Amino acid sequence: MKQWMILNQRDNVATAVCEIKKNTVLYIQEINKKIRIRQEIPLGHKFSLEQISRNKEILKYGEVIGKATRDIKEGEHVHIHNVTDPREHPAI
Amino acid sequence: MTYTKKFSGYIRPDGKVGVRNHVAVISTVMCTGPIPQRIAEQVDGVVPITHPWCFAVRETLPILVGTAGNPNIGAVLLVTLGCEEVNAEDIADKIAKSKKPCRILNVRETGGTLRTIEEGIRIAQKMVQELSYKSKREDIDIAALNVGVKCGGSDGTSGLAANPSVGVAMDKLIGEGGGVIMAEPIEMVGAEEILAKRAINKKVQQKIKKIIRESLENYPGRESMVGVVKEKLISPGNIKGGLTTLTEKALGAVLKGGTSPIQGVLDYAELLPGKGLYIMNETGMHMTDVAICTAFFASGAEIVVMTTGVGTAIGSPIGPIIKVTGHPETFRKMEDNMDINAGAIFEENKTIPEVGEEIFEEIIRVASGKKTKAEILRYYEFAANRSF
Repeated sequence: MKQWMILNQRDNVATAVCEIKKNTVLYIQEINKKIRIRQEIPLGHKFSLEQISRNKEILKYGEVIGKATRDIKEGEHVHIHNVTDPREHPAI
Repeated sequence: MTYTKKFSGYIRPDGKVGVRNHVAVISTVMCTGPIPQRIAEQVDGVVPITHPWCFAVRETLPILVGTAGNPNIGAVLLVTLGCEEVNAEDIADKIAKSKKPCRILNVRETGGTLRTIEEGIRIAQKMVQELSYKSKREDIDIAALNVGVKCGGSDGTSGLAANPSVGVAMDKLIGEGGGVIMAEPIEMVGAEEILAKRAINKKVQQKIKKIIRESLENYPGRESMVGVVKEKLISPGNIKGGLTTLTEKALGAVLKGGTSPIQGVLDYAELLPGKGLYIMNETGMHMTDVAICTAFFASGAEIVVMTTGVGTAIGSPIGPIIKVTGHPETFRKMEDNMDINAGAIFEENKTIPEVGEEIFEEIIRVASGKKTKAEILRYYEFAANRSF
């Protein structure tokens, strides 16, 4: 059974499709890389496939979904605590 | 360009192709009483249609004209009271070029509901019999098909399994020359720049951004609910489920339309002017799932594909709604209402392209006559919208 999905080859995050425990080592065949998961990743949440520096773009579905608000290590949980949506929504 | 895929459909006198051969009994306003339903109970092959808005002509007329004119409908019986602003003769005039049989019964002139039901049954019986031997399915290119895509009851699986797979199927359909309509600009907030980049020209680009911006500005009660609007667009439940930004959520939703260039923006219930991918706008009032499916059929879609996470049961009297769920539990628990299990991506290690191909094949099968779960149970939800 799948543990994660990468939606586009440009993505730098993967989405967990089951809960992944801290310190699990995953072999990500799509990018031929072993990644150690640094925090527990709940179902539906994302983890980084590489080091993402502060202000760099988070890519999912091949598009920018947000920017890192601090340095993100490979295998880290990627969510509201370290990502911001840089697009303006003036009406909100 | 030569297309290879075919389906088996009804070629209508005006050249449009239907995937069903219904006789539609359409009440121009609900005040006639349940005449369409009573006729449908007694006559095989009849679908009943009614709605409450007698005065909202601007929105209701295109919906009823588009519905009656849909190539899935082989013949039409309009039932009218006589006082409503939506005029039955108008509808009959506007669908005249389709050359489909069209009759009108006025409840007051016929002498009350019971006589109208009786007369309606006789008329519908003749219509059904004629269609049953005059209409024949013929092989035709997939290019003739138009499909509406919708999501309802979305959950975390929607952006991972159901929507991406349907998107693959829509790319295939458009590759074969077909048409696709996507709606709900409010769900595109966050992805407006990305979508605008896919517009075929600057005019369409501006229109896309405009309708998305306006959908946010028109959000009910927005003036007093700025914080709540933001929360409603990406809820605490969404965040708990793993969605981090509005853009991520919007992308997961628009994925269901595929990756094709966007040909144009349609008004609510506006007829499809051509092939390829279109975005349909809403009316001023936010639209329900049923109203959007109704509008897709009115615009000329023959089939709607609907993705769902937690499940949805709706059907339409006008055409098939194929239900695709990405949640394997939903497929198991609501097997009566689900057609495709995109949750196989999680449980059976299927890939998005594999399930996309499966959905595309199912669209061809349904177009050629395979009945969806909702059709077999005669779920005939129908809703016209209004902007005030």
